[in-house]
Amino acid sequence: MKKFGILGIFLVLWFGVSLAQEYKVVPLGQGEWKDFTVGKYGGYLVVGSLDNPKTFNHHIAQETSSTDITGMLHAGLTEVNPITDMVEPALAKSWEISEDGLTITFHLRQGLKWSDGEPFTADDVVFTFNGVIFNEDVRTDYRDVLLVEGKLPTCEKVDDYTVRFTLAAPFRPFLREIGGAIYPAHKLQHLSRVYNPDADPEALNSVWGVDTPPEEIVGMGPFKLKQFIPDQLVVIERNPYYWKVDPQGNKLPYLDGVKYVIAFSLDTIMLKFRNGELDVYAPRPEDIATLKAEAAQKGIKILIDPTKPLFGTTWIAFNQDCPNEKLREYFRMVEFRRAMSHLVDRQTIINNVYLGLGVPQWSPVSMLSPFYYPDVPKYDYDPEAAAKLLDQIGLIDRNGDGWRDFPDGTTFEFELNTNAGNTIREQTCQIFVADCAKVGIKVNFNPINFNALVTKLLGGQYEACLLGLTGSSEPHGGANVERSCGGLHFWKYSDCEDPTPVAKRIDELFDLGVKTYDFNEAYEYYKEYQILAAENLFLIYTVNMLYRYAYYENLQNTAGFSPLAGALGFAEVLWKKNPNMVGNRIG
Amino acid sequence: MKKVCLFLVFSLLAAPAWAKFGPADFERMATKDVIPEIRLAAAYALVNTYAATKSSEELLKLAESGSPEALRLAASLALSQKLLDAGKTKDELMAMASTGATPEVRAAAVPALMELLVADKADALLELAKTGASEELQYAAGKAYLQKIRSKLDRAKLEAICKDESLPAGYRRAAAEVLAGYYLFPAQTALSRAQLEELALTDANPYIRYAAAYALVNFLVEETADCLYKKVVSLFMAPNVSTEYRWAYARALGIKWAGSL
Repeated sequence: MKKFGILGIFLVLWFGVSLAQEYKVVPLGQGEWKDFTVGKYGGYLVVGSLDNPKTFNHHIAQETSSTDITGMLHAGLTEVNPITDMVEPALAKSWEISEDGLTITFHLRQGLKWSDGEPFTADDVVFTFNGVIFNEDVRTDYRDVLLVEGKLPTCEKVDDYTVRFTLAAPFRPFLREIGGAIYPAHKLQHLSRVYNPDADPEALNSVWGVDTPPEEIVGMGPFKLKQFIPDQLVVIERNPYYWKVDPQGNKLPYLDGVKYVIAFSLDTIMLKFRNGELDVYAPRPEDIATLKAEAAQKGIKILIDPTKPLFGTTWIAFNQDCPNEKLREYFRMVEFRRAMSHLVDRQTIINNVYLGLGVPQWSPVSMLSPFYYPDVPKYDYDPEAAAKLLDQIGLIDRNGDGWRDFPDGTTFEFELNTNAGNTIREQTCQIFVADCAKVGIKVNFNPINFNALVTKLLGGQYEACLLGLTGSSEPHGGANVERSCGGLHFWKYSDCEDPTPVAKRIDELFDLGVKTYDFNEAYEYYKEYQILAAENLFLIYTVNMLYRYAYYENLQNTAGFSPLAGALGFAEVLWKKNPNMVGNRIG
Repeated sequence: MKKVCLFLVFSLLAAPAWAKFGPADFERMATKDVIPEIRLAAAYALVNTYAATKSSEELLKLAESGSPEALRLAASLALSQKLLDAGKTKDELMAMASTGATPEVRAAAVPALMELLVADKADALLELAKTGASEELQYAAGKAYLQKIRSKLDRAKLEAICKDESLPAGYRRAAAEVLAGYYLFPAQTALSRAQLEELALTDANPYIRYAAAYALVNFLVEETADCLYKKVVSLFMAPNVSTEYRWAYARALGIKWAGSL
């Protein structure tokens, strides 16, 4: 009886503890995770790094050699699904948004522990925001992205597992932005002057430097720091208290850890990958042939997925405010811009310039964004259609010299700039110029220095140019380009003073898109914006480079590698068929 | 000869159950099989096992004096893996690649040496690729050089290196292996399997044949071990089949066998 009694108490205690731990289940094999399998434990993922980490303090780190590591050590209230790019619960299991959109209340998972075994509570969240992020002593860029109408939100504890944020105005991207690393109050609170007036103002900037003993660096991420050997290696290992499990209840991550091999040259990193010393490698286009040749002999898989282009855009812009009045008149005609789009031979550009590693681009929103709308109007390569449109707007060859002319008989011609030295852009321009010539449009191609080009662009002094913009999955990131008074609204700065009806509507859509927390409603606003952008061709999009990744076939659950999360974004679900292998070698 | 023919007939009729084969079986094949390409395939299959079970000293000894050649190859490839972690200096690896006792010992130094050479200037690497003291050193320097200038390479330039008889063998072999990638990529200009087979069989230049064979392996691994085995056996007695073509099938078979262990 006594034995049974003890066992009964033990079972009750164990069951009680299990219930209290509100783990997040990663539904491998289901839904968007359908191509992923439940894995087996063991082995290290070995990756290359171009430099030493400068710090292990995530909120201070600026360079990827640091953030690639610190990002693995921490977790936030929310997280972005690495496959769908949608915001999901993380340390917060749920949240409520007030009707006016100004108050967001987060409910935390209960029973979670830091990597040192201490309990995680609302005090950690409140400390992170009030004591670290909102603390002016701390030199973190994270503060900037949380500003809404120039004001930081307030953060308060409601109870041990509830925190509330109050915003100055509704701001949909807040749920994405609030997912920054939560820091442990029990380790760092005494260093914050918000909590300890006697603390050194620099303490939170210098804490967790690269000479910190690994056990002092505590987080809620899938891994914890194990070892750093300068110029050689960083090792992180599985966090035994991590709060995610697979559908069978196995704790994640599967890997024992990740090793970052420090080499200071991409050539060396590529050779280390080819020699089987690294498991993964992000090849550049010029690397692909070499890796393809060796793929079968070494067991290398090369991922080139036409559904996964990189973020960012490449486009041709016509300056609708350009100093040449005659050109300006035509550049402002949508028929002219559509004719120009009909002269961009995207497939030839993909084949000849991008070595097949590209897809045509039609929308200002990235294909990988959940806000991407694929069915926008497309004015694809069609010189005949271009010629008809040019005829319709009165651009015809009036003197029989083979070039189309203005109504006054002078040759219609414009200068096309791009940044000199960018061979992909230069070659793209050359193909476009040749196709324009086929329909009698004279283009004077003039590649110039990048800084000179940017000066011309921002000063409104160019006629046409081919250039690119960075991008992200959040359409609001393009507000400074798309809004009529945006600093990069370089195709028609006069929209700010005298916006066209389309420019006004796009302004409205950008306002509406951030003021709702309802994804479907926001999607409809951004869909309309994409249709307007594609119909009006303020920027004529060309080709988007594809994402490329190479890895050894021993590595499993690689199906989601993409620009959204790379490979390391899946580290908690990666596993190895043979845990003792690195690359194609027995380690 | 009669015995060999009987063996071939038997081999073609009934390929063994590879899934049940262990390292000892492949070691026996690498040592005793009558067909050189089967010995070669078995050697490739043994590499990871050797790397996991033999010391560097044992592998070095085997690469120096193992017999037949296939065992030296397996030892060489396994040793090359170990040398990646051995912390050898560039001078040590250069010496090994230059003056190692056998081609297999010299070849073992190549992967580790390439990682150190790639930090050198391209001009110096090209010079070493052209004048290195051994074919293996030329090859290592050639591979490092071609890696360094890969953004400037294309099929025509690599074919020109392969065909240039004034250049040393190691450098031309390095160029052929890189050229193989340009036979596979980009997709718009890639050669088909049939085109690669034709090139590997019939091109007049051995390095072009090797490049095609190297690329061809990427198609052949899609076949079963049984199919590859039968093909290798059938090629043994076939006339007018290039060494490079036979090698491609043996290499693919070795990959399949290694995967079964």
